[in-house]
Amino acid sequence: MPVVVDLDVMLARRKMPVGEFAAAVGLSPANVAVLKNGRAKAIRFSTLERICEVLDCQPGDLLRWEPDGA
Amino acid sequence: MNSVVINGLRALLVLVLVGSVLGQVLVVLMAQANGAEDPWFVGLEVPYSIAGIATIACVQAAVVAIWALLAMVASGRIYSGRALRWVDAIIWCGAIATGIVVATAANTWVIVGFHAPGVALGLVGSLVAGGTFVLLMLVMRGLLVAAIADRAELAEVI
Repeated sequence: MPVVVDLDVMLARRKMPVGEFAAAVGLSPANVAVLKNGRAKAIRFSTLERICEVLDCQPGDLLRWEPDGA
Repeated sequence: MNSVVINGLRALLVLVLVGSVLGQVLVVLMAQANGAEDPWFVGLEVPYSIAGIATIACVQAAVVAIWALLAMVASGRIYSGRALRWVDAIIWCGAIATGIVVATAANTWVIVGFHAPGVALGLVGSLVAGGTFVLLMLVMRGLLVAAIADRAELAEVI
């Protein structure tokens, strides 16, 4: 998957447990797992907005593009 | 979905079912009356009664399928593959009913040789109405398939 979600990196940097993060953003733990595992196919801007708010970061801190085969 | 609309439609569907059962009885009585009066109809009472009852049975089966779809609409489960099976049932009911009516009218006109304007009208009318219904249902089935695909895609958005 060329676009990588660096959610686990940001969570580690903020030292935030996954459960607390899910509750603060309003996501289900299952959806947080999907995001972390890189199985997400699409994300709403409103979800991204809340994640940035909770983690106090920019979308660029969460999403990273990797060329195919890297 | 508005529950008044759904419940109103359910009430009307019950009336349609009751009316269709009465219609099935009426078909047999009409066939008997015709057999006593019209010489061309002699010997056709039983097959035409069966054709009439079978056609109305198709309507009843379609009503049952609509009832099942309505329950899925009410509970918000209409956008699933299961709904397509009920829609297919309605399409088949329409096709079979059209086929029976067209075959009966064609038999009356061609084989029995009873050339009344009502028979020709029944033949053309049932072909046009039945064909329109079946094709319209196929279009609506296509829309449901597209809606199910959109739903599935939207469900993956986090």
